[in-house]
Amino acid sequence: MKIVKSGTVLFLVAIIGIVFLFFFGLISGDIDTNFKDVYNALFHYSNEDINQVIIREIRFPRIVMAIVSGAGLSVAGMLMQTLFQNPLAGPYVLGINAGSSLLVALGILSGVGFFSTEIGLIGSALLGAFVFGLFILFTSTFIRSQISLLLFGVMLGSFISSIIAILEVSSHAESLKAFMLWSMGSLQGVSTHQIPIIVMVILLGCVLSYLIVKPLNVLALGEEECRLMGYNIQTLRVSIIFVTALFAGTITAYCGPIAFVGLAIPNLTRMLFRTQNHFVLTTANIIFGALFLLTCDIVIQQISGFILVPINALTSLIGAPFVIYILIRKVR
Amino acid sequence: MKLIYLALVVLCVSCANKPDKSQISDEQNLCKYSKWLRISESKDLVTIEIINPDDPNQIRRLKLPNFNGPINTAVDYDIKEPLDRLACLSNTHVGMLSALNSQHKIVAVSDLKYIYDTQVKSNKVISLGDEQAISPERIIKSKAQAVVYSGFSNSFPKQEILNKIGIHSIPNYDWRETNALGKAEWILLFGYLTGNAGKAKAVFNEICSNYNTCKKRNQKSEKGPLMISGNVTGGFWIAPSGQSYHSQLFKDAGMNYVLSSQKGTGSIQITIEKALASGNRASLWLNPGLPTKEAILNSNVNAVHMNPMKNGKIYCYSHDSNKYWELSACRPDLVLLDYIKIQSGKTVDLFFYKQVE
Repeated sequence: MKIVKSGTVLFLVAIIGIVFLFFFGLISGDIDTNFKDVYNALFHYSNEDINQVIIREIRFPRIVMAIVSGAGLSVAGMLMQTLFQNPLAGPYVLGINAGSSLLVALGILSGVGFFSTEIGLIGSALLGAFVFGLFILFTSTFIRSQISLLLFGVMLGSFISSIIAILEVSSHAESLKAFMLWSMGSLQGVSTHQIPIIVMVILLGCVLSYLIVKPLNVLALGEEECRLMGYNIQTLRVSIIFVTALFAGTITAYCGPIAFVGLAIPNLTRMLFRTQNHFVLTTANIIFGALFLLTCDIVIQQISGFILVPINALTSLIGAPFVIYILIRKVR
Repeated sequence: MKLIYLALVVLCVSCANKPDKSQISDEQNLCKYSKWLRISESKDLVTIEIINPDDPNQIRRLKLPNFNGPINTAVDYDIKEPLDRLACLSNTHVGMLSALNSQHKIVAVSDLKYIYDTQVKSNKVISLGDEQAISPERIIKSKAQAVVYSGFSNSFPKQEILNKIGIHSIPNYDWRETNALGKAEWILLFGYLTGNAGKAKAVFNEICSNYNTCKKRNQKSEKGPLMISGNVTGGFWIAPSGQSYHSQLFKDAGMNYVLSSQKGTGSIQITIEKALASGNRASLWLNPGLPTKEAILNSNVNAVHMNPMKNGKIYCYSHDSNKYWELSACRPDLVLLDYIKIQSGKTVDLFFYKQVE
């Protein structure tokens, strides 16, 4: 009862935090703006006013992307961790993001114009994430050790990086530039008109995640229990990979690779809520993932007068020590 | 005993840190604009000093005969004969040798696909790869007598090996010059190395004359249009800072660069919203680094709100990047002329630039 109560308080605090940071992010930045600008930008938009343009076209999509990317990557991480029953699993660590990058690299560096378009980019990223997700799943049937599977994921990431490096060397300068710009990763690469489709895809992923909550709860107990309860384990596995690929592929396509969110937040939520109830965990990952990446983004904007930090650098700076902490705990 | 030992250590340390001072006085120095290249010339000796911009105490000194005069057997020259086979690791080096009609002396480059000069391309020169990962075997295979490198990471990893086998490694810091003519002045280095000093001086003087004439003529006109430069990379807007090489060219062309007050001699990063606030006022956008509006929008969705995106006044060299990177360092007069034409709206016959469509 106590845990449920404190959990509700945590959710409430996190939601209030998100709402506060959302408006704080809209009003504060390099260019001075006020409440009136924010109100007008959201409800009476005029592209003649530069302050409104900055709020609506730069800050708003960036903040929304931080929220949906944080939520999506965290849920993807949670799904992977449950699937592989490994707290250190995640789309970034297991090479799913790398697979997504590889297909994008193959597309852009091939010089075929279609792959540099929005549809081409998203298609490549989604396909890459799904194919490499299935590959990891297939490999996991041979590699039973949790650490070995992680090492395999890391090796796969390195292998893919090498292929990308070879592609870069032999590609045309303009294609190379387009790929380099994409691979640097940023929450700023999205325009306001792209937001509805991204939000819808991430929402779809969240709904699908909620639909598999029950089998996930059973899977957390073990595959044998899952079979005994009458679930088709293969269908469940492919469903999990599909949802993960949907999250990882979409976010990677628009923002480039973002590290450690999908690894750190699911572990954090497990530590905070101490439950295997995937309804609670999914909700927690959506809320805390959004809060985490939004906080990172706001911090970056606030310190931009002194130092400009890429989003990936900050998430790694916070996420990597946290993962080391989990590793040490696991070894002990 | 301990005191003597301590004194010896202090002496050794102070000797090790002793700065390598220039042997060329300001009066002797032939270079008028360059900050990192000094050259002195006498009847039988040419001394070239290349100063490391990150550590001015570190000077690469080359002594070579004045190829127009007698060879003094008493002098221990570093290079005794004009170099005929050079490996050039930057496009700017290729451009400077081309300006001296000495491109046939290039036997190796970093990557042939980034070369503009047709003669160098057709000569089937060897591609050596990235400066930091260069293969000494390929250099030996090219039979280069010297490798001219850029020193991007403040060192040239294969220097020791090359020295052992008698191949000179010569740094070229033209990319660190903030003065457009200072950058072009490095043509003198190639002139002296290849025995074409006279021609190099003549070419450089002509470049200076053209540049200064253009600049003076343009100073009479009114203040130019408000202009922004650069583009988004990795979530930030990267542009030339106020005291950079490009910023000086913008100023000399009479342009009103929005970031001219930003300190620094290299590039600066600003947030996208700051860039948009500036770009919204600007009527001209130079060097977005991409050849088409579509490519610009693909890399930076917010570019649609920049004023030049609406009025169409975006100019870049990206339709032929190799040409720009190879020749612009050596021909700042042509870059300046392009800028003057662009800012005055007379954009016919641009040499490096093209309107982005």
